[in-house]
Amino acid sequence: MAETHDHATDADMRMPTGAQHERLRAFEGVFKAVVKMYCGPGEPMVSTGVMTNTMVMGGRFLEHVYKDDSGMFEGRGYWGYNTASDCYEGIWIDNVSTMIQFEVGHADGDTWNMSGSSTDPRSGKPMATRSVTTLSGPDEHGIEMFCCIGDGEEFKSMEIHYTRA
Amino acid sequence: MSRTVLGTVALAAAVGATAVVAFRAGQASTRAQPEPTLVSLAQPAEQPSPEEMAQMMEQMLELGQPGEHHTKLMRGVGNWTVDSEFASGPGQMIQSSGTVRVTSVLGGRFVRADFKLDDFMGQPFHGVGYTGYDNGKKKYVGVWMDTMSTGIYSQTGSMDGDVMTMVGVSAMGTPMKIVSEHVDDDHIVDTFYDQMPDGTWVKSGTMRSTRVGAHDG
Repeated sequence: MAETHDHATDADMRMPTGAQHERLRAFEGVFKAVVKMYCGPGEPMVSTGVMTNTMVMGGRFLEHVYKDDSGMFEGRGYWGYNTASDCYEGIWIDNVSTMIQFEVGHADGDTWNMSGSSTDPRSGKPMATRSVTTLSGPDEHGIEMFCCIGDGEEFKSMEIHYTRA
Repeated sequence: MSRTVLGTVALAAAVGATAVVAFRAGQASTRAQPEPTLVSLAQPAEQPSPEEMAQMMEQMLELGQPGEHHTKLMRGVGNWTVDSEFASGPGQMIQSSGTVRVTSVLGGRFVRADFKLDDFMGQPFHGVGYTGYDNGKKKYVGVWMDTMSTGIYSQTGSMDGDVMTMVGVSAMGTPMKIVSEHVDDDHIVDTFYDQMPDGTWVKSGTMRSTRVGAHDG
């Protein structure tokens, strides 16, 4: 083991974190969430919950742990910045789906534009998804999610408003 | 619920609990009362109708249930000691040892593995992986993050008896494969491979895990 300590590539192999990772710290903390889900025309379904965001693994990733106030829904996700591909990357999993959802994107000021793909449950075909996260201040941020089935028009599927608890 | 996608619909099911409950309740009470025609005229043709929405939601709920494939993943739940050996260069191997804690999360839909190596190339190493089975894709799916890299790496794969094979992309951007074999309930051997430009797979490392304590899965 000892000789590997002096191996020239040791330091190089460890990807350093940077300013982009520091930016994710703005989302750290415990936030109250108001979730609006748009399921077709009409008023959205509204639910509330608590999101706990923590930087993990040496400041590399922001871990999301979400619990719905009903106690029946929970999810977790990770958000990082891949310094090799120069992209923000995010994943999400929860207790009503068996999918791992993946997103890639960029930041423009206080706005993060991420896109990914999911699966249309009816056809099993890919469904394009997009999200826009906006940091409005140290205690407030929001996210809008959109989706597009097949060649159809994009529509808003969800909107979440977070305020620091 | 940030980073996602709970895409639409899927999301409908997704936001879960409340939504699902609301949906179920709504379904029961509004069945006899069809939506006014105006509503369906008002929406773009591409958007699902309320009926389609309900159908999709039912399918999402069905697809969201853990099944036999998820049960198979639970075999790894518990605490393990690990001895690893990875190629670090031509003729050079790095050996390290540590622990893995595997827990069932999100109602048995995923297992989370927390890897901790005391000394990996002179530094403590922490990695977190989640593995599940995507009922829609009909494949095992996984993600991996660790303190060596800044990427989130996805894998997909299959299970054949005691052997699970997952394929993804390494931190170097090239295809990699992990073959995990349950030698018995208390021993797992993971063999790592990198794909060469000519398509052949070359072994890059091995991890041997031994269960500590009782199987609490």
